[in-house]
Amino acid sequence: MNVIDWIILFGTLLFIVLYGAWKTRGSKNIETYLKGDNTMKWWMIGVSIMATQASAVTFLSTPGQAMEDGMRFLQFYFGLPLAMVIISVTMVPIYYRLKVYTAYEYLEGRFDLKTRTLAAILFLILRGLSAGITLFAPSIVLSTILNWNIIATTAMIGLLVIIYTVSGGTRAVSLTQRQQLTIVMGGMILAGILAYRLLPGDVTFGETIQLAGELGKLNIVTTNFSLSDRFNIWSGLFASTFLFLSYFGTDQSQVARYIGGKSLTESRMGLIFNGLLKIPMQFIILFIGVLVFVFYLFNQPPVFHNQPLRIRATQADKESRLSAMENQYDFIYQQKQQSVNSLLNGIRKDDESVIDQSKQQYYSAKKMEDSLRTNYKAAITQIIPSAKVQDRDYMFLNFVLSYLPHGIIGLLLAVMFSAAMASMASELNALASTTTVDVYKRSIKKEASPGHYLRASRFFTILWALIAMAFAMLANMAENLIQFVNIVGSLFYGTILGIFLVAFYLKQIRGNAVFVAAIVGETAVLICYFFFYEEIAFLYYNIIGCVLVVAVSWLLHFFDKPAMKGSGKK
Amino acid sequence: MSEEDQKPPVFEHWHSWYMLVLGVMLFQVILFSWLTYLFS
Repeated sequence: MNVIDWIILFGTLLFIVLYGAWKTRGSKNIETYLKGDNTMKWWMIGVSIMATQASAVTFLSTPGQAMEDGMRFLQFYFGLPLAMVIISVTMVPIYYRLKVYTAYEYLEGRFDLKTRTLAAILFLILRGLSAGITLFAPSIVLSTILNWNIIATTAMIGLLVIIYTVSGGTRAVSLTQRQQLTIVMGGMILAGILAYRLLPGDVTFGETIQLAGELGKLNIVTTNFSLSDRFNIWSGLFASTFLFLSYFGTDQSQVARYIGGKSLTESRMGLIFNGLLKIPMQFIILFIGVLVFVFYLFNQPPVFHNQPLRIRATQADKESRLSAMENQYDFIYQQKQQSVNSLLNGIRKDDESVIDQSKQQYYSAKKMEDSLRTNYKAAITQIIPSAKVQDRDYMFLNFVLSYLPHGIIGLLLAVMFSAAMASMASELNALASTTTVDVYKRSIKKEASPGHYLRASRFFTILWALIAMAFAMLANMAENLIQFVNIVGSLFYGTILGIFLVAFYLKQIRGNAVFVAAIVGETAVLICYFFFYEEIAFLYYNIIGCVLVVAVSWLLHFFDKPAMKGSGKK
Repeated sequence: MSEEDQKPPVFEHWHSWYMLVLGVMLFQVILFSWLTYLFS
């Protein structure tokens, strides 16, 4: 990092914050603050939806995911376009017809207050946890890489978001997301182009692709079905559709993005925009990871990608165990590079036997490398017992800091901070509106002036930001916490989606039945998570929760009509 | 909530944009399957 990088990083962040706060200054009524005054055009809605979903973890972790596991993570998004169409056709017209501020308002009219409050509380738990992780995950990585204090990093991101979210509400969130997504995608594509240009001059683009393919990184579609396998075409097409139906259709952080549209058509077009562009966007991010993987075939990667931790451990390593392992690692890399050169020759000559032989050599060197990396991490943990040795999230940023030119480094760091701010802003905005509309205004202070509720919304935005910041500062990163950001959604989304599906399509079922069914569904999902974590991949929780809520509420209604008939409006 | 508001959402018509999204989705799945087959 040099002065140019710092100027670009802070210049970009300050511009976005000041632009958002200035353009939306003087938001004086609750309608504008929570719904953006229904002025959003379709492309702004689409951009806002995409920026909300893609947090900093997406850009930190996804390239590393591709480097280790190949591109099969893309299948996770295959169900998204289908979910966009279903939501456009079914849910959006209802929200428009009822002119709701939050998705959960609809549930009171359809069922009763307790079902609305239950859904709102499930959302607040889920989104409150996620907001903490959205902030924590980039803070831990960025503070380590930049050698900043974690509390200062977390506070900086949190305070920047508070400035424009509290001042301008939903409109400020959407306006700033335009700039943020432009910077994020521009920066990532530039990083991809530079990674390709850093490859040896005689390696063509076609050969790059063939090398990645031969070494198993272009495994975009995998057809083996297994309940415990997270990413294959079946979980992508079926389980993901449920997840995305719930996330985009019933999660207030997304619903708020499109109910503020200029018209029903604009909102639907915004969702369609997301349906068309999401898979290509994820493809680009994963492909950048593949390009960095190929780059590291010709340039020796570090044995451990969290460089500041590696340096600390090496300094504290009195027996020089780490240095000895690094020497071994150099030797293994030379073997690996020989096999890669031989593989490249095989590809150029189109000689299958050379290709097969080189791949065997490569995989045997890779096996030694993996085992050495495992031992290296174990040694670091012995030297520094509190060290977190998961380094996948550091792979891409470490590449950026080590090989990309100054200026671009600042831009890529701005990418990570912008992505964190964009999704956190939407989350805070949604948490504040749900707390104000579904809890405070409905159950605590029912009669007050619009000005009072506007002040309450601003207060809840700050409160949730402080909760997220406290969570991020105090959390001790479990090894799998970044995975947890995906899992935590699946724990609650199935149940919430089930409640909404019953509301939409099983007209005869009333509040009591769906309330009990929701508690049964949520309990079952939590049992799956705590007792069958290895057996059932988390994406299937969405199907389990949703199907249970629908089935149990129907059964309760069918078998116990007198008791379950109550609580709900005809 | 009025009777009108409680009506379940009705599938209006096969809007061409929905067809486009589903068509592009299908195309992407086929394209990526083909690429996986080609390069593995």
